[in-house]
Amino acid sequence: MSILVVDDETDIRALFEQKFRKEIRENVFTFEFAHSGEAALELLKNKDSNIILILSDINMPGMSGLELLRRVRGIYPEAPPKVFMLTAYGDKDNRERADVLGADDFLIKPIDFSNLKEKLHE
Amino acid sequence: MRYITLFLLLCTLSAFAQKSGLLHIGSIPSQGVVLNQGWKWQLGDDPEWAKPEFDDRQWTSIDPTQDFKNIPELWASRTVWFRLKFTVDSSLLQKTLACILAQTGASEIFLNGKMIGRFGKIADQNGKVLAFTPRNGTSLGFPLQQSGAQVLAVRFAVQKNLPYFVFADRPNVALSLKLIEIKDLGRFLLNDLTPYFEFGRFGLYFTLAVIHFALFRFNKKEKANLYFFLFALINLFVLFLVSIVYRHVDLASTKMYFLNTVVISSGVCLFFFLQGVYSIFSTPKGLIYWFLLFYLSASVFILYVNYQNGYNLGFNLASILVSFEIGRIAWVASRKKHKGARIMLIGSIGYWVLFLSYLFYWRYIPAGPNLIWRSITLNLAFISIPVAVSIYLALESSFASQSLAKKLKEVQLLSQRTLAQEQEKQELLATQNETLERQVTERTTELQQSLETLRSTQTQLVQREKMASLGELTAGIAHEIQNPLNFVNNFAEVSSEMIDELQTEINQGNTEEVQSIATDLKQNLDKINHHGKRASSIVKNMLEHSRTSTGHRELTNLNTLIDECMRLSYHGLRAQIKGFQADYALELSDQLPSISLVSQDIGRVLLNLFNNAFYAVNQLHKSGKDKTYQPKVTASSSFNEQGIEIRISDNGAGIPIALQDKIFQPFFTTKPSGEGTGLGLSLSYDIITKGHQGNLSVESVEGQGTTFVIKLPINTNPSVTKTSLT
Repeated sequence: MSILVVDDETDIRALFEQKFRKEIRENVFTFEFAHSGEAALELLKNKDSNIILILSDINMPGMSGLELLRRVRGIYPEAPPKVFMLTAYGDKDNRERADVLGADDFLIKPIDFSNLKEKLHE
Repeated sequence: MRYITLFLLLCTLSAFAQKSGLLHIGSIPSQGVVLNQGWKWQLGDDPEWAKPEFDDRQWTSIDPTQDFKNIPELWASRTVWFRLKFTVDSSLLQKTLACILAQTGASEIFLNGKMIGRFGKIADQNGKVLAFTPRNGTSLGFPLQQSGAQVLAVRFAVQKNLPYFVFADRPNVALSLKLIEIKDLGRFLLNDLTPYFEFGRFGLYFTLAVIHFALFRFNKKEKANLYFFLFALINLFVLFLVSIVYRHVDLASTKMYFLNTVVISSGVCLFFFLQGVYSIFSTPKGLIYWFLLFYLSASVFILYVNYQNGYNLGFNLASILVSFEIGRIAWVASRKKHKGARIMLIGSIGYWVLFLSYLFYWRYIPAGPNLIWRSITLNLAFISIPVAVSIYLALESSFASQSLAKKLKEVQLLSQRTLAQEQEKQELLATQNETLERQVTERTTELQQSLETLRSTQTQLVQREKMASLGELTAGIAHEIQNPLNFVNNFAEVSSEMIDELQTEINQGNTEEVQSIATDLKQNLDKINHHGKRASSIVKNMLEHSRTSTGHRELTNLNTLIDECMRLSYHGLRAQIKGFQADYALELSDQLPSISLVSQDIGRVLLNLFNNAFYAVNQLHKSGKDKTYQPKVTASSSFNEQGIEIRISDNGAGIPIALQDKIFQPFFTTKPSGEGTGLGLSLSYDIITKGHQGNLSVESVEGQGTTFVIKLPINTNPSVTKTSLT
């Protein structure tokens, strides 16, 4: 079960790998990382991956997370994968647009990892 | 003179009695007896003919008292002789008699063979006749012989080469002898009233001349006065000549030349009179005027053409016509309500009334006491028009002076009023001046206050612009800070969890795992440190940006500054603008040298340019015109010998050429009101050009994008320079 994390902050990788070190070690989850929307789309195209969830930041240089969501939904009209939006700007507008575009969930930074873990386990 | 002669003629008729062809004089009235009957004459010359005993019965009868032109034979012969035989009443023989002589020619008078008088020269040294026309009252003694018939013989000749004419009905009598008692001689002379009238007229014309000259002297514009002055003056001259001619001139030639002068002068006199009247009423000179002028000139010639009536037909008729014309002009003028024209009309009418009465007296009333009335009417007729004219002119000048006095009064009133107004104006002006000065002072104070307000406003505006660009970034900055803080929190949290794990592993003695966890922990601490620093750096930047520029130059790496500003701007706008989407790229030169600059100021410029660029691309993206549009902002840096060049490009809509000149002007903005201060680019321009001796320019193509180019000289010498802007 692979999860794609998209964020322009490179340190997100270290954080996730440590937070989920038990799950990674036990192979419950595997994580893929992309630092831009474009890179995420490349990953999605190239791999016949078993990415079931995309966790994407919204505000990124270049392609924004919402744009990525739109494109992903263009490729995969129906789940999988699920897309969780992840942003520091928990404003109403972004949330609505994410809903419209077909986001499955909307998480606000800083990430509440225990909450995220619960959701992932679900 | 003429009427006196006529009068005497009539008077003497009764004194004659002709007896058997011999004239007998019974008595001599006080007026005297003109010897005009019983005369015989003969052409030729013979001293014998003077003798009383000469038999002249064969000679022809004649009346020598008639006009000498009526006796053509006079002109055919060089000399003629007149003889008169007469008897007198014995009573007369006791009386002393005299003879009043009138003649036009030269004469030698013999009484009873004895010469009693010689007048003129029948033959002078050149053999020419010198005619004598004795002055009025010239008399000679008339000694009668005590018995028998008295014989009067006159040798007579005419002077043929003179311009004779009949002047004023006074015939040029060939020879007239009037017997008169010596005692009556003086009374006879006294009876002549002519001198009194002449004197009266002389005085009048003299007065008129003086008055009109004075009037003309004081008002040269009124030419009429000049004309009337000349009229009166020439009239005086004419009167003078006329009275001289009959009282003091004996020589026929002198008399005739004087009379000619009189006629010509009278013509000129009339001309001036006519001219004067025309001038008074400003009458246009028409056909009548020119005709009269012509007739006046012609009258002199008529005089020579017609001996008998030349004077009457010429000058007299001309003067009558002129008086008609004057009457007509006065009539027209009074019809036109010309002030005072009636006086002239009355003068003209008076002239005609008087002249007609004169003619009436002359024609129908026998001479006698009426002679005085005749003289009076004629003289009054002569002066009526000139007097009317004078009265008219006097009236006119009185009118003029009246109206002048009126105008003077008006002028005085007006000038008083003007003076009062002037004073009022001056007072008003003074008041206004005061008010003005006060206002100027007030305004100056107000202006000074305004200036101060403006200065403080300017400072505030600069500050506000700075804060505005900062404000735009606040959200972005919050995000920027939030991100590292999130990492700090997350890494601290995860580290804490890992410490728990670490203890568990230590207890289990799982060394390998312990080591791995320790490495991760070390890494986490580094991350915490890194993100903490990152956050504090952002805060520091923000503070630096908002802080008033120190103007302190320091060696700065522009690439770092560009990166920071780009990020600040990007995140700021992303946080602030809903649906903001843009890509950015940095193409920075690795070898870019650090240069000396005021980093806060340059940072503000960069922030401003990035904000503008992101705003522009976002606007185009938001418009949704192009679905494939990829908003992008690129910043690049490069350098050469001339300096460092920073290019900030966007692929927005571009700036229309018309606006490219204006964008650096203060308060120019294309943003909706309230969104932009319009000072950003203006301040940026000043910071680059004035503060750093660089150059800020724009390259923009509509529909393709805009590039702002900053050029800065390479100046590595850090020094303190105070920029004029902060």
